[in-house]
Amino acid sequence: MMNDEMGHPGDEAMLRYADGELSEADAGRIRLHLETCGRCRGELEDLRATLSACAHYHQVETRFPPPAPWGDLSRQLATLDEAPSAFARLCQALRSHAASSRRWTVAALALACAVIYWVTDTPSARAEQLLRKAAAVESAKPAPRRIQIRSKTRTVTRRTGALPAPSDVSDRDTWPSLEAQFRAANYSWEDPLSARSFMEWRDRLPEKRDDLVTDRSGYQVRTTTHSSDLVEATLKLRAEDLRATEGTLEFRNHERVEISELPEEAAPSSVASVRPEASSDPHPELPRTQPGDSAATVAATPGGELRVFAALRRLGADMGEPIEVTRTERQILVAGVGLDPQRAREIQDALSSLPNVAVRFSEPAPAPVSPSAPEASSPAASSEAVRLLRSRLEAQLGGRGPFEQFAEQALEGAEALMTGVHALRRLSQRFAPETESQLNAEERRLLEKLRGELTHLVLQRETEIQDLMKPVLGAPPASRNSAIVSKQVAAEELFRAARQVDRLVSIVFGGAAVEQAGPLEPQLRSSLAELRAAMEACMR
Amino acid sequence: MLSLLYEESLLMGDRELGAASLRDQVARLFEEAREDVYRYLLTLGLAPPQAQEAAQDVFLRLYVALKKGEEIRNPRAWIFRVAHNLGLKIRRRRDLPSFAPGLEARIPDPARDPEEDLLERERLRRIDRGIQELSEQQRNCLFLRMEGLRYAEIGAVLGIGAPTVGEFLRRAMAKLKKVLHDE
Repeated sequence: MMNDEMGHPGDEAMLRYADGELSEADAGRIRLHLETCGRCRGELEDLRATLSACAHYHQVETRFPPPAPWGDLSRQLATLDEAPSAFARLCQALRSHAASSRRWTVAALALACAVIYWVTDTPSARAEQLLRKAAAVESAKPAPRRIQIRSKTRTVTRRTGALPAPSDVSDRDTWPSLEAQFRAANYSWEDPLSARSFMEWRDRLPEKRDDLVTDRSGYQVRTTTHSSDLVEATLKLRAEDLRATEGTLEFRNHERVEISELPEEAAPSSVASVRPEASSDPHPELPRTQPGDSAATVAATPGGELRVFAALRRLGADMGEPIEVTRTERQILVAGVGLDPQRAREIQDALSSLPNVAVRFSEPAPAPVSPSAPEASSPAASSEAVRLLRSRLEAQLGGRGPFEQFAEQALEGAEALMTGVHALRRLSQRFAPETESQLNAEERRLLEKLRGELTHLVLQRETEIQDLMKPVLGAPPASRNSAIVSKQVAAEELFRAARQVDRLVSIVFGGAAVEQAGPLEPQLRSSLAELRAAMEACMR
Repeated sequence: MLSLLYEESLLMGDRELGAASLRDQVARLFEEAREDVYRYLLTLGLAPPQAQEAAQDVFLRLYVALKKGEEIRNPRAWIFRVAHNLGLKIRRRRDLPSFAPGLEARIPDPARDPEEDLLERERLRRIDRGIQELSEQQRNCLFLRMEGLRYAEIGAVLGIGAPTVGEFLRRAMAKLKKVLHDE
């Protein structure tokens, strides 16, 4: 399992570990190794990132929903049973081939099964099913939007969907001749780019022919008829949500009209959505503000903010990344500084479906040039204390090399602890009791879940650093039982304790400036004990 | 209700079970696994309508097999094995080219800011390039893993041993890691 003389697991073992394919014993050995090997932890992280990129690719690759609703299999099976001849033919086909080969003949079977599909598998039936489904989606989620209507001679742009704003009404009358043609053909002028309008026109036709073209971007329904002034209409439905995105209408007088959806200039009032503000420039700072001046704008709620935190949690972007979340009355601003473009992209994607969220990424401001002398003084006595402790630890660990390795782990461990604690504290601060009381029951459950996840992560990191320190410092002294009641206070207490541990670890192992005198070892030991107590309080 | 997919063995040819109950069980499996099978068939290069049709066929065949008294030890592996063979045969029989439109057509959310799309495209293009360079077996292993199959199950689907699956996946990951990090 361990592949080289240093005991590092090989690539395959690591992959099997990540995939949960190892025996408990082998997985345990790797887990143990990972605890002490930064290099392998890095490799595991790398591997997980690749797996997650694959998963994303796979999702994109297979995001095309089945073109028709799934048939009722029970009924089809019953039909098979009720039609003994079909079933016998099927079995016969299987048997005759089983003699020569144990494998089934797919062709014969598919042929027999095709009987079942004849009824439901015509382009018309599929087009109809698809349109009904798309129309149902439209009514469930009415989405006001801007569309463009073009003919050879003219182009108009207007808003459709839910109730048009009064200011749009005048637009609607700007093309009377075309409107009259629509009405004569029984095709909705008000909402011409929708599955419902297409279906209503199509349903009234006494005679029609349908074609359905499916590709990976979606479906195109085309209906032609001789019994309407509108002799041919096509409608494109987007694969992921069956939203109508493009249509063409061809009238008997050869007028051809193309209708397409335009990107929103401003998010519509009832469905204000993310306006990603980064561009291909890795970190542009676009001062675009979120639309939200309309009186109908849905206010940005604590629940909305919570969902932003949940989305960031799913990506692990709530820990140790320079991302700030702020909520005003109307919007939730997620601001990231100096993120790499790919990460920025992931975050934008994750937030794109949430309402009233604005995302802004920017480059970090150049660091101020300062001839910074360390602010804190380093009293000789304290420096001496550091030297003493270091030499004791070096002796205990077996030399300078092992000490350096230990020091690196301690610093990494403290940093990991701090990022977790910061995330937990931020969540507690953003959702203090008075804010929490504004959440509904479901949101409260979500908050609890997030808190639980973060607490668990912090606990892991806390355990790691305690386990690391215990052999050299001894078990932390028993600490007083904390009487902390609220989660917010517990998170604050945990933050304070973790910061103290982090500070001392930086002094002892990272050469940070010493701010106070005193023997360091007992301080470190008691700070770990306080950390333990605070952690326990958080989990109560 | 417990998932039948994870049962260790299905023996539904049992006379006591009766046709209606057998139908119900297959219908339940169908509801549970049809989307997974459909997706896997898409990755084999079938177009959506063919993939949907083939996915339904798989479950009809499952019903026939069980009705004949065949014991199915691992339903999930069985279903994917049949889907795999069926998918390949459909492509061969109809002499279809692999259904693989340009990557552009596969990028989600056409309404998104085009500049933003560039980043997404670039990342997907890289991984797409890597996946195209994988051997067919490596690719199949990878996509079956994405559907949540264990190595032993993937082995049963593709007719290879679980250690070979591990080796295929290792090579696939090495290649993909490389293309993702290549500048």
